[in-house]
Amino acid sequence: MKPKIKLRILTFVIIAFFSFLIFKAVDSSLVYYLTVNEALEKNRDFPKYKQLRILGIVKEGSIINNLDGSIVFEIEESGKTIKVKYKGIIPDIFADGVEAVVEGDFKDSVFRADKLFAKCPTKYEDEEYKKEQS
Amino acid sequence: MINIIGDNLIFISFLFILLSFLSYSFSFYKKNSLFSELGKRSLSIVLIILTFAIFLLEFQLITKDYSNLYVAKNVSNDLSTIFSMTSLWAGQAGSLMLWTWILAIYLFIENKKSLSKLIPASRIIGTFTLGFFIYLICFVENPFESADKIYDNGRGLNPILQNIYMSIHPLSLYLGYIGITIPFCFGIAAIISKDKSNDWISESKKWTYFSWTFLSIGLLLGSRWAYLELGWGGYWAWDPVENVALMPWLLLTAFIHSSYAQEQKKVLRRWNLLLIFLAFFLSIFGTFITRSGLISSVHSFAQSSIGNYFIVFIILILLSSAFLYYRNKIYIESEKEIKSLYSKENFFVFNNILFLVITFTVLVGTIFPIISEFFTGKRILVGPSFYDLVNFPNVLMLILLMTFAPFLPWEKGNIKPVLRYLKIPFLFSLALSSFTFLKFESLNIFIVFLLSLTTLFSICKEFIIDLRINKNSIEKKFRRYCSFIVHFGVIIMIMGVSFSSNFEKKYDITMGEGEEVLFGDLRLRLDDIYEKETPAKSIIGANIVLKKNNNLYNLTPEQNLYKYEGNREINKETEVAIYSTFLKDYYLILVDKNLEGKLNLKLYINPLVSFLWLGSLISIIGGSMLFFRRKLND
Repeated sequence: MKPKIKLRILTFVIIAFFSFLIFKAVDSSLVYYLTVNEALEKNRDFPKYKQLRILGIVKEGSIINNLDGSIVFEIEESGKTIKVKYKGIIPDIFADGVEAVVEGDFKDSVFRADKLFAKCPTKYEDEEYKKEQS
Repeated sequence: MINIIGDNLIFISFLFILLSFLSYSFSFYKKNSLFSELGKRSLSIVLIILTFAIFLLEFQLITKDYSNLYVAKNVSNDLSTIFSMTSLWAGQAGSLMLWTWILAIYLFIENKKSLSKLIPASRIIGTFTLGFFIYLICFVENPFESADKIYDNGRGLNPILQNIYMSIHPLSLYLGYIGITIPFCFGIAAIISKDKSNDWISESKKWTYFSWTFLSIGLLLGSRWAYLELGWGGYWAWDPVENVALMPWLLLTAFIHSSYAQEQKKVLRRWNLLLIFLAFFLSIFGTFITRSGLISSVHSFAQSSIGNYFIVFIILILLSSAFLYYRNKIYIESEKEIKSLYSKENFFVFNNILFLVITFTVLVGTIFPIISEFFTGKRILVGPSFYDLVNFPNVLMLILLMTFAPFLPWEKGNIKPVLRYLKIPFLFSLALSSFTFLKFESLNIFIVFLLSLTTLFSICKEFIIDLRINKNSIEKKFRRYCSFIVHFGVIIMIMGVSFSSNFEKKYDITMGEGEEVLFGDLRLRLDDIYEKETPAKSIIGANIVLKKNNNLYNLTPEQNLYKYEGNREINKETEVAIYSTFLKDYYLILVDKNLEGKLNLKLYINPLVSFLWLGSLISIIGGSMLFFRRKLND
């Protein structure tokens, strides 16, 4: 066989292998990204994938610190809330009123999060700041 | 007053870059050297004006001239001079200003050499790109915009960004990103000048090494910052923002290998052009992704209309590159073909395929939410396990290539001498890695170590042989040894990454004053909890003693609460306490103080993280040796 053809075949095999792997990996690491309302509505539609990621705003005054270092808080979107229980590292930015993203699954009506991210409200150039100041 | 001067300077520089672009284009089509000279002069004027403007902006930042909106938004009275200076790239307008200035410097440096016939065409592309950025700072995001009212204090810099790693990290990434523009310009120039030589590679190779090195430094500093400052025990999270910085680096790494093959053996010509287009495209795409807010990231960036300008620029580049590429396809055909499977150039092809696969994987993972929303209406993302699953076998194959490729001959295809050469390194490696297998009982680690150590020993073997037989050959094989240093570092880094991610240990601890906790042979004692108040912040901290094998280490993790207002949505800052040894990092975080007055702590024991930093550093040294060298002939 010509080396060029050999090379083509090998390239094809490598790419096929990785395509398959990417496909499998996507399947096994899927996380649904929902807002609070979507999560409440569609909660039942995602039984196959337990991991959900929910975006909401931390309700003012809802953060409760437990003795064991875990926290309980509520995230809300247009009045609806989800109760979240989380134990782990709390991001520095996390506080009342920030946008938070929690990842985990529902256990009864409480969302057990194993990951918590807080998004900084755009710090530098946000329009709100300009409005506030003017 | 200064604002008006600055504003006008930028506008004038825009006029001059237009002039420069037009004269270069004209001189290229009419083959007129007079216009080329005009273009060159105007480009120099652009650089002088921009330099003056950037000094003005720095002056305003240092003197805290709040009549400038950018200064008011990024600096505050209590900010130290050094961080005021680095605030130049803390916000969007300043970053773009810096970007523009650096690009102007690069083009100016290229401007002086005028030997190659590619230069005129490459300058058209260069001045066009520079023109785009000057347009942005002139009409869209002007760093000299006046403040709408009088401020007596600015918003200041976020406390978690007040870290020396964080101040250099973006600068280094910019230096790297922008450097890709030069090889890109030469690539396009080769197409439009219908130049069949390999000049564009040899003209731009130093820029490639330069960009690669600075991108590496930027990535290293970024992960170091995340590790020391963010307090989640890790250094890489596959966040979209990290990913977009990684992708150009991956492509540039691929390009370095295949362009070397072109330089030496005149193969892969078209392929290299495609690679550098892609790398440049991804470097702009990265800026677009982070600025447009299209993909949500835990990092936050300014979101603004600037994304639209970038998308227009990206589309323009993609279309025109594709158009030129297809129109001049016959001119960019390689002179030679790859003749054998077991040749060095062919292994470079495999290397390229693997790097492209990684890049593609990272790209898919990054934009997966957009794709899934487009096709299914649901926003779905992929977790970090996605990247791990695909990249693990890929990296293994790359190490395998790293073991073989350096010792394979060009063109001829014979693998037997290489296998013979690798026998002793392999046996050494097998012995050592079997030992690690007995100790840690992990098959993954065994495979990684087996391959990695074989590569390390194979490099050492060549060095030893050269040292004993012919010391001069080391000087002659300069580039080969640089690549060995880079490979050596990369291998050490991979060992560190795979080991630390497999054997990381994590403990949650709650303890009060005077209490002691035991983890195997590790003893943790909390001596006292202290609370301090400074004008800027309130601090909760603890003196903790870590005891291992009769050695005592003091650790003082802290939690800071900043008092001031303004740009302080983030007012908490975790000071991680780390005790680093060569083999293990003890990483302690103070989470909070609970109602009983006890502390919630987290302890991570990360093994071999030092390998990651050490390896990266070695690679960077290897990379920088390449562009400090005056001539690269071998």
